[in-house]
Amino acid sequence: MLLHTVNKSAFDNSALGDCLRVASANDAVLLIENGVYGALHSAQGETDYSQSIKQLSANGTRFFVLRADCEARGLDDAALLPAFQTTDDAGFVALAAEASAIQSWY
Amino acid sequence: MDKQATEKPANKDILLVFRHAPYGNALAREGLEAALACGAMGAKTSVLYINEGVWQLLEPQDSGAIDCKNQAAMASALALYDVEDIWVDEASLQQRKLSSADIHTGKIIDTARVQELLATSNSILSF
Repeated sequence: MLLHTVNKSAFDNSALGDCLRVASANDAVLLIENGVYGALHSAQGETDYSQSIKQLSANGTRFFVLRADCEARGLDDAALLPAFQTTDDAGFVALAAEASAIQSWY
Repeated sequence: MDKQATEKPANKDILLVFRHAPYGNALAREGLEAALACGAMGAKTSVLYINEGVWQLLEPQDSGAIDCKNQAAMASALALYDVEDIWVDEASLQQRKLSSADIHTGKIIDTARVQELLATSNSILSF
């Protein structure tokens, strides 16, 4: 299992889109820092990755956001796409330990 | 000299992923320096050019007037440092209307092969 971390907002950077294009079914994707904006279900137009997230999630890819980064930015759980689970620093470490390698998209 | 230090460390293959264009910031140069260092240290090193990183391979480059080291010239040193596998993502080339004729090195691979490469690498450094 590969852990992908994304730390740039999907609204101003291609990092999330680039990540989703190569993420595989048994991988995990963790949005951190400004990357958490990519988990919003309100995205429209070309920054809307909800379909590919839904598709990947259905195939087994796990999606996470760092809770502290969401809280800091005023993003409520209800604003996030259903594919996302929130996690904390301990969860981040557990994912990193579980992963064969980490690809950081920035 | 410690003999151990000259032996290849077991199970230490390193993939360096280059996904930013050259010259705008230090990432491309630092990535190449890291790749050359990994190769020189005897680690099994491979590099992947993907997304904006494929611009690093465009030829000819002449960076003299912007006071930067020529990235294409530096990349051509990879083979000399035992970095044998230089992979280039096909979709990133297509997206930028580039083809094998535009780049100076690398083996072009499709998305499935990129996924396999990432999945089978035990350390990844992203630049």
